Amino acid sequence: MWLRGNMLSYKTLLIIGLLILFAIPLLGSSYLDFLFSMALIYSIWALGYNFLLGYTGLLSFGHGAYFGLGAYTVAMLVTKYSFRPFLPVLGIAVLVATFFGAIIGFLCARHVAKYFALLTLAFSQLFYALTFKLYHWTGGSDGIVVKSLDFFGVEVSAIKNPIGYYYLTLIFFLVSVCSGWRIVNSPFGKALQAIRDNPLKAEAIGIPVKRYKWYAFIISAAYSGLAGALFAPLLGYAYPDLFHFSFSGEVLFATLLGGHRVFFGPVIGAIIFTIAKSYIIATVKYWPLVLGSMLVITALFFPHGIIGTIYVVLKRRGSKTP
Amino acid sequence: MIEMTRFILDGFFYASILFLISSGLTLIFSVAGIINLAHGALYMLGAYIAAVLIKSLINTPYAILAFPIAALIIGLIGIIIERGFIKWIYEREFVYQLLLTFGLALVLSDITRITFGTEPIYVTKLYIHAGIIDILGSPYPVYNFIVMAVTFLIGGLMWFIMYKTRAGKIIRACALDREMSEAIGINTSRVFTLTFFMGSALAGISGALVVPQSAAMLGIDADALIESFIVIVIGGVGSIKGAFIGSLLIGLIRAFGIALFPEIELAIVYLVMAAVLLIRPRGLFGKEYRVA
Amino acid sequence: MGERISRRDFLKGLVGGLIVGGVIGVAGGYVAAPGKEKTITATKTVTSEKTVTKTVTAATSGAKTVTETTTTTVTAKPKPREIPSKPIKLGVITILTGPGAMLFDPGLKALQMEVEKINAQGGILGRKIELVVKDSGGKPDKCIEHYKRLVTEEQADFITVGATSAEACALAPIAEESKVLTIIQEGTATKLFEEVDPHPKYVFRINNYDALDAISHAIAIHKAWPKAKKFAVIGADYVWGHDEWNIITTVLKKLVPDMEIVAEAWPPLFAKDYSAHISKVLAAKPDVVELCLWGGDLVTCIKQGIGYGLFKQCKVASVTGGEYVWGLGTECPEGILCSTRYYFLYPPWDRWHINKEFNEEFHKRYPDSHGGYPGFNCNSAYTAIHALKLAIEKAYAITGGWPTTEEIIAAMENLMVPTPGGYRYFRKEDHQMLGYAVSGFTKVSKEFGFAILDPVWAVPPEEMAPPPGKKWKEWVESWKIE
Repeated sequence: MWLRGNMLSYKTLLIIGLLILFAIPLLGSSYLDFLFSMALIYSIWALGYNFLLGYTGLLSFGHGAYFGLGAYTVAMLVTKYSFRPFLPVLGIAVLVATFFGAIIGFLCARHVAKYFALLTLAFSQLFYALTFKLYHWTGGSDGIVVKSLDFFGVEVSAIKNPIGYYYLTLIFFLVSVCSGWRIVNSPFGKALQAIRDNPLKAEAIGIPVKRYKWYAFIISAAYSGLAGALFAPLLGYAYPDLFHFSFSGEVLFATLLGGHRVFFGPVIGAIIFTIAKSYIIATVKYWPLVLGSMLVITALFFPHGIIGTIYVVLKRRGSKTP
Repeated sequence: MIEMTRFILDGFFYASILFLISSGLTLIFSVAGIINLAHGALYMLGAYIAAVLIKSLINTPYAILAFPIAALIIGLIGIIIERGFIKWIYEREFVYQLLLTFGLALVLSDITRITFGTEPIYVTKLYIHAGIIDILGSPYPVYNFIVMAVTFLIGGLMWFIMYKTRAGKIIRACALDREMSEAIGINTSRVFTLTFFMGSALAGISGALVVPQSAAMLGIDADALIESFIVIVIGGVGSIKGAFIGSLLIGLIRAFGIALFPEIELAIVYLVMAAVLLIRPRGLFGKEYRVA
Repeated sequence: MGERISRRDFLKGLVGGLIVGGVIGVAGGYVAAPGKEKTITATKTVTSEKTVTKTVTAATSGAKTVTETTTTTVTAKPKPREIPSKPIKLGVITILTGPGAMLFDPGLKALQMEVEKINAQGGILGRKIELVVKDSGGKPDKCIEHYKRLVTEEQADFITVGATSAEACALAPIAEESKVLTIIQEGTATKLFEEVDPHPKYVFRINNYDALDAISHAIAIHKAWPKAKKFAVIGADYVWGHDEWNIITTVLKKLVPDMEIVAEAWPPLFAKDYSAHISKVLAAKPDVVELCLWGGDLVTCIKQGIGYGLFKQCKVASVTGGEYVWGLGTECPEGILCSTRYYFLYPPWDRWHINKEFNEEFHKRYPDSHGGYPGFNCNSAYTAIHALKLAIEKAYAITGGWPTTEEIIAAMENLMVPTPGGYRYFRKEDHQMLGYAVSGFTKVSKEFGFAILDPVWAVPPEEMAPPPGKKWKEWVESWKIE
């Protein structure tokens, strides 16, 4: 009885959520479209990030790097080299992010958790320094404008057509969620969880731990690159702060806010984070104080995140039924 | 020849600053296993406190007290942080300490901004009145020597405490194996609190010492944090000796880099890091960690 | 999640949601055309027309009859827009956190001071101004977010921005698309109107941009030390530092054909330690050392330079040093050639009353801010709000009613605004405002407690600003030097 009720409500929640997402442009102004485009992009990023954190148990503190690489690749292709076809540009951006993810992942994945975090951070800052330094090419601290892209003759510009761009982002979001779900439920995904829970045991039963950690890193970088690639046209700009560790902290918080042990946690967490952050910085004078306090409170009192806590509460209630 | 001495001195000086800034982070990391992302914010707060104190006491001989006072205040804040926040997450997954300390960093830096304002606080008189000394015919500021001397002192003191006193032995025991130390009767939570006090005080005094020769301004927290991390990565996790050698390496290479290959300064620290990682991935003096 | 939902159920839910949602979404997207929320109607005033027709009829008897028919078509002239009674909402996006805050916080204070003054005198055409302040922290994504929110959700009438070059460039295309008058006080990238937004309609910029600073500074260096031939630089290692130095040397090369660059040192932005850089530059024995630094960096570098004897060995100049040297108090070395976009003592207070009043008010109200006197951000803030006021009043005088954004823009082009720094005007072609650049030698003043610039002189825009549409480089190259 409880089983059926739970599954039913879960599906219903999914459908309601999807309906709301599709109806966003009807619910408000272009600002809402912009905000939710951003939220979905962060969700894709958090989803990819959680492959490493929630499923493999690796904490990266430099994931802004792949996001930034995706964004900058799009910016440079479109503005500097006037290469505008939408899908190829996106594809190349994801490839670039994945490529660097592969290199850095290879160097970092064999290290133990805390050192891994420091290393990923250091590499991200390296990109920051390089972007700053090679300003003739990257625009340096001034950043690069991202002009509109071209999709089979139709102009893709988030600035001119925020609704259209929102639906575009939504499509990629759905693709990411579906593919993410499949990866996580595949044997590979299960292996990752085994590595997270007990690496020695995993090694003992024949899982190539180091190699799988590397694969997880690569997949994670790919999703981050996609998110960054969608971000650049949304803002119409790419800038070096994307590589700074404080930006990487945002995806960490968004993931944990939702709950990193649950599949939909990071997705929902990212959406809530984006909306909350936008509201706080617009209305509160001392917003770093408020945001910082939120992080502290989440770390201390809501370790499972919002979705995780709901799940824990439901489970407890569920266990009460005979 | 003059230039050579100049550059070596410059290298030592920068290494001193780096070591001072990163020593606090290294200490806390190696003993309590905590990556304290609020370290930069503590450093910045120490700088501001010292700046204000120096400015108000500049015409009295008490101005020099600004440094130990700043260190003490920041050390106390460190105790508050540890007892109030950090202690709850020792046993938890690693990710929570990052989130917690990141949040604390945001809160602390905003409190600094609210208290001291958005504009830099400059302290000029102290640096200039410390005087200029003649080294082989070219002038060199005395204050730099003072900083180098203090760094050496602090480094020596740390080494002495850690390796030559009983308290140091206890601290090292806790670092190696917390459970075992508890089993033999050591009050590990008090040890950790003490470590946080020391590490934070180090952050505070490094901020204070840097102020007379530069400034207390917003944004120095992020830079200090990054520099500390790079030193740890190069020097090796959990090793104060590594932080010392790492700082020296970076300082000297940077000084010569500036002299010979000017374009390279921004990238040099990362290049050294990359080289070390390729040759010796766990850092120069890194200890192999238990499964963390 | 509890009982794990099977993949089939997940997909079922997903596909179902997709279909239903997709239908709603497509329908909705079709209905809500992009950019629909804010429609600007331009009022056209039509006057009455009179047509006079003279018909000459020749009668059969030979007598001429002239019939004059006058047809008067009177099209009612639409009433001029009433002046709304609700306050003008002015959105302010600026930087209040992080290292950039030191630049923009005083500017915000000056803006608030001026707005209060204008409101006390009745506001603009009787409408009070309401400031809505947002902090972007120097990050373009937050800046854009604030802008979109101000323009759609909070219905700001006008926006003024004090931000980094990156933010200004990121904002410009969005501002043009939103059709809201956006005045960029500070966002000094040369490329804003040269590349990013070459034919701006809704965007105006107040401050002299980077290239102007560099050109005027180079002119000043040559005027101050005409015999100097060997130049060196300690510059912040990012776009601004390199670009400024590039422009300065190009102009110097034009003015002093046999000049040479003997040393270059590029410390990173916000570096703490300049010892090695100073050592390097000194070793090359230059005539003039240019410090291409700002804010705390400049103060730190000068401070450390004293320790290394920099100021005894060569001449020193700084492209934006004018007000940052205040941080050194009375310890500042004398004789440094500093340039700036606005200097609080120029034009002299006994000659130009606006500067006198502005300084006295600012000093009375904010004695602890930034040396106690207004810097160039403050002047930009003053200029922004007064330019807006003047433009609205001018447009009102023409149309007789509350002007539309387009009418205000038309009034703003070529508008001349009296500011504390002297008269400034907006160019019509690229909406860039031009003002004097001021240069002078530092001299410690006991009265002010810091180093002022004395003697000081101004370089007018006519001498240092490339004409609209022309890139600075080709313009400098075309100069004729005897």
